Amino acid sequence: MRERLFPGDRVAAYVVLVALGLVTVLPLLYMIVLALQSDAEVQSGDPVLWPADLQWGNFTRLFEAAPFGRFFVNSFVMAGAITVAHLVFDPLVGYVFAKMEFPGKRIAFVAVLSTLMVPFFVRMLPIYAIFANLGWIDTYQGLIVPFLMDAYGIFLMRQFIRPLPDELIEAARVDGAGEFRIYLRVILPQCKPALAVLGLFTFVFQWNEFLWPLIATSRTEMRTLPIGLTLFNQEYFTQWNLTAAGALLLFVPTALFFVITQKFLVEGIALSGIK
Amino acid sequence: MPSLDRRSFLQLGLGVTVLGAVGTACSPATPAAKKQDARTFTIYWNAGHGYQAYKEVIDQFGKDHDLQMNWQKFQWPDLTTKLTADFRSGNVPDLVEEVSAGTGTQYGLAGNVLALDEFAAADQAFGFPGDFIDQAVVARQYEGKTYSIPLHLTANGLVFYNKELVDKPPTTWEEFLEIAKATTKDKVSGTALNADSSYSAPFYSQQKVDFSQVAGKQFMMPADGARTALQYMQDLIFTHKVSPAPVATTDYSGPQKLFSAKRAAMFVSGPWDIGPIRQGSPDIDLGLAVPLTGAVQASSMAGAGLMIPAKARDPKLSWELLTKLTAVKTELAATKEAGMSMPRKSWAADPAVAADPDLGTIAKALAVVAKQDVALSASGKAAQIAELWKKAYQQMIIQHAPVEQTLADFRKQAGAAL
Amino acid sequence: MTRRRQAATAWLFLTPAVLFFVLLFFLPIGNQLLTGLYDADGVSFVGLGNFSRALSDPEVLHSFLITLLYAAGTLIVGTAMGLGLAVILNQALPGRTLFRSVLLIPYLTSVSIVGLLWRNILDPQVGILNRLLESLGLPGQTWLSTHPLATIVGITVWSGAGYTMVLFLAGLQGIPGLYYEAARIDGAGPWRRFFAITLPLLAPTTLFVSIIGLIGTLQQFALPYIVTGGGPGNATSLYAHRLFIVAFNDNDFGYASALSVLLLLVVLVLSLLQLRIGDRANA
Repeated sequence: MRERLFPGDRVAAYVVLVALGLVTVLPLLYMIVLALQSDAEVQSGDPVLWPADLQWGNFTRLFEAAPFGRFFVNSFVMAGAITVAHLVFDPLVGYVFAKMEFPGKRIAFVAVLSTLMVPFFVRMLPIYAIFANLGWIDTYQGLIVPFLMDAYGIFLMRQFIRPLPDELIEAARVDGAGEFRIYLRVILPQCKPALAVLGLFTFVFQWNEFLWPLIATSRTEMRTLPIGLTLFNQEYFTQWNLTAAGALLLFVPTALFFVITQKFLVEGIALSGIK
Repeated sequence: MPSLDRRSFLQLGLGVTVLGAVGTACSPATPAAKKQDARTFTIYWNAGHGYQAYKEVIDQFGKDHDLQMNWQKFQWPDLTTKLTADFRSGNVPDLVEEVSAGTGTQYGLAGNVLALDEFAAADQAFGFPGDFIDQAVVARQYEGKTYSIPLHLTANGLVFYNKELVDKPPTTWEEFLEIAKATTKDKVSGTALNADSSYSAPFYSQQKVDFSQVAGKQFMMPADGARTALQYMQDLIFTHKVSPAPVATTDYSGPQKLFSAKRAAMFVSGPWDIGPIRQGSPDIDLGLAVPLTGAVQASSMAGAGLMIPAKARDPKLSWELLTKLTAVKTELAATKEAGMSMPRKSWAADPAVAADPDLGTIAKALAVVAKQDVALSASGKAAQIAELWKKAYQQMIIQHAPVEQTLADFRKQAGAAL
Repeated sequence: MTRRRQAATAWLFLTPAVLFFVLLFFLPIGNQLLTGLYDADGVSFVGLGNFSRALSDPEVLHSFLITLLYAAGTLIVGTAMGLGLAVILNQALPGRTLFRSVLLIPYLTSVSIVGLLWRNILDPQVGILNRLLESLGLPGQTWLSTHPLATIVGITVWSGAGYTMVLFLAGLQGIPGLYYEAARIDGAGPWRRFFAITLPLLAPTTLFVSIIGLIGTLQQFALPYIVTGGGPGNATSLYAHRLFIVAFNDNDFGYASALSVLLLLVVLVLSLLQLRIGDRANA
């Protein structure tokens, strides 16, 4: 017999979930409606609940107006490479802060954390100047290098690794395993949920990043998707239909990525033996 | 050596992928991009002005000079952000569109864009400044130096009206209010004010008010006129209720959208709204009338220009393209394509332009543009003070703050900023 | 393992990070912050002049105040919602994967799209929300004009609740089932188990969520930039937005750097406080 918090708790839960789900989803469904409108409907000033003629052609118009395929590739390379870099480096550094003691640890951690407290555009200009001198403008490395690691991922991994039992590590040491081996074989496998979360959030964040790609590129072929979308704001009005169509295209990969990492989250449950 | 189990393999795989990714990423960019240093010409432009007429000029220029033309389009705020970063790093484009008169002066005095008088003097055929309308030129000069060339010339202050709802367009403030009251019923408002503070300019100019007079550290003077103008605008919304209160957004198409939805009978704006109305609601019989007369008839000048960064690779080349983009031929082509109005006198005299009734109205509005205080741009604080005005305007028009007090606060803050 | 060996290992593992952070964070940030000691022209040295100007600038103080309000509102509502949703969706409810995915969708959408979309929907005259309300016979809303800050909080929570939920889910899944079993055998009911086991064991996650949340909300600039432009008036002129305007609109990089330093100090102090409380509780 299932435990109850209070009578009708399951119904209440569903009511809440459905209500929140609708509030979450309806604006985005509206975006789909916007994407299928004609130019005239967009400028008419009357919001349209369902377009007279579904303009599927808006999606192809995107590709005609600008090399969206290329934007896609650029976004993917940038977000993908940065995500991989984070998955490699952040857990390692997080582990050090979570499980090791050494002189200067406190200060180092605070120093790392403090980098989160300064908005990106503060360090943007000096980096831009240096990259311009290195010839890294309009290159992939120019887009990727400023973001290879960050305190967010390090902090996230630190928090997840901290509660892991020290006995596991000690046992491995007693067995004679090297420090890096311990990290690879003992710690990392325990971090699957956190790694999935880190990977997803990093990818999403970098996929949607706007400011740095704007500054670091000056050729259309190197633009990323979010910047490509701004091409559809005319000076005094926004072409909502094309912007919305582009936004949907922008959204698809992150949705896919989420679906993929969902599996790891589920696997994580199975491995840690909860339900 | 112990066999690798699945997890280690995963890690190894990841490691290899990372090295691969980093390695590929660090390889030199595509050959075409490498060539860019010598033979690429970069232009920063506004996304809304990407006319076919300009494309043809730019493509031809590229062919004539064997250059790869890199025509980059942005929204204004993004263009400004990027340009700021570029100036500070020395990595600048070859030609830049200027958001409005005075921006070039601000950059020029800071040493970031070139003064263009020598180029113009050596290029008599170009016709600068003679063939250009005075106001457009003077607003871009400071102490005898010109820092940008006008590309477009438009005026804010035109009265847009729906001929079905309004028989005879208003010519004075009193008439405007009367007609607004008469047409406000059910879901329709007589007019719709804009959330953007630059739309207050026609109104206060029509009361002979100067936005700034830097020499005397004066702002929005004479005070009586300023109060009259802003109070009139505020009353339209809160007292007479003939206009809805605008919403603080970064989009200035609100009034146009209301008009297109037949929810506003009239509104005050510039030629940029003609296109969207014709496209969005072709069934509306659009009427265009000259600016209102308050104490005087006036409009406020708007329109982009062109600037050449000081560190541009080949300023002579940049100048050449500039002349082609601002040639009469190009102006006429752009007008035909997008209805944009232009700064050349020869443009205004062209039969195609003179015959068009809308352009005729626009020309009349251009004839009464209010003077701009160039010293403001020269002070380097124009942008900052514009932000202060934006805040004050929104407080009065959206938040119903008392006009007298808000204006006084603005004057104080603007004076302190100088 | 000896302490020396551990320290050596630690620093060895940290080497790539040290290099990276020094080159791409500390040096550029330090370089920019130094400009805080100079005037807008970049040449005249004014020492701490920019700082005293910031501390007596009513615009800056106002920005700071509303940013605190914004942060408090967003954190309290967002964290509560995220935790609640995570707990509900950690149960074996049919359809939970669907709900989890749906609730995360706003977070996957770029902030500029979120901003533009909501600006469009909430427009009192041409937005679809009011048209729908009208057709239902209800009065329209003008939240963007009358309650702009609350609206921005609402949009932030809308787009971030799913994200917080996912973090708490990952944390919940790290709690071994044995603890719950043992408690159940001991006769503890669901509420008791929540407060005695779940909350305490979630502490590292909660700490992470609140610190990151604080750091993020105090630096929010995209939503004001896109949705309201800081308005009406200065009602939504959040601190980071003000900072951006001072840098890229007013071109006063010296003053902007001083503002960055002040922000850094505030966030640092608040975060350290939280860390201290959190780590002590987690010991």
